Amino acid sequence: MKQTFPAVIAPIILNLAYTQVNTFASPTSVSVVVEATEPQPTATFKAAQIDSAYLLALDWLDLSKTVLATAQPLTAEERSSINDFFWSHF
Amino acid sequence: MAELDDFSRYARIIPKEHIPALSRDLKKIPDFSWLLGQPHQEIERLQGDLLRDFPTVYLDEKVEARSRNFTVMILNNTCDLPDGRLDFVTAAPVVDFNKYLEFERARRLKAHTQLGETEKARVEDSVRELARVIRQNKKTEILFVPKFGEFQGGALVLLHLVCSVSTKIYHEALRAKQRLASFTQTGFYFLLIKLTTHIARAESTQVMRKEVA
Repeated sequence: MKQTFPAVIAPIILNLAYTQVNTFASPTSVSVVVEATEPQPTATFKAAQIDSAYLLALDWLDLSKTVLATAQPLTAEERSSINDFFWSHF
Repeated sequence: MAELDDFSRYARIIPKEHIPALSRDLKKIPDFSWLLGQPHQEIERLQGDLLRDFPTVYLDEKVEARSRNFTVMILNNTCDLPDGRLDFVTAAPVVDFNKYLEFERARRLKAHTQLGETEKARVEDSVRELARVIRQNKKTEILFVPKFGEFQGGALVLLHLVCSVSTKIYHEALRAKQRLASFTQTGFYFLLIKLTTHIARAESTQVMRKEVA
């Protein structure tokens, strides 16, 4: 029996497989074929991408805190007021 | 806003060529006239676009669905808006700023019967102060945007009242030319700043989470 891996799992396997075509035999005798047509990123490259995304998010947090330094959530009274106004449209 | 004179630390998130304009516009706050422009001519679907007469739905405290058309702001990232990427868009309702102030003024006056001139002046002052704070975008749940469409005194995007609407309806609205405005480039950066402040600001240190699952 042949089965294709779900999209979420495939990239993990592809990192191991690189450009090769491999056949894995599972303990339950399910044969899985994974085919990659392009070179896949190395583990080091992927880790760098994650670090970069994390830093970008931190930069946005920092910029937001700088620009809207004194921003505060609505008080209970203000929230009640704006919500009453919103419901008044119905 | 002296902290924003040096943008070099944000070079990873703001392209170098946009930094002078962003720095200039952020220094204009509380003037937010630079946030919005005409609907983008070439790109039909952009994050933050404002569409008129768009259906929304909310569950009230009795778990009854209440639906009404509002002008809305589309919150989805532009990259998610092309065909085949989404089944639903996320929309935030937009209300008239001046009408809200009138509503709140009437409410405050009604709360105090037989007001003297001094008390009336106090209510007026308190409403003016509320207007000032909102207009400066200092309330995390509410995005104040300058005049566009029918909102000649500006409008409030209610970020705490978002809802999901089928992309089919979104596409129909685009075909019907219901777009009223798009964010400018620097306005878009401010939109991200506002959304970050509303959704992703750091938790208070008083919030103690478990360190292990």
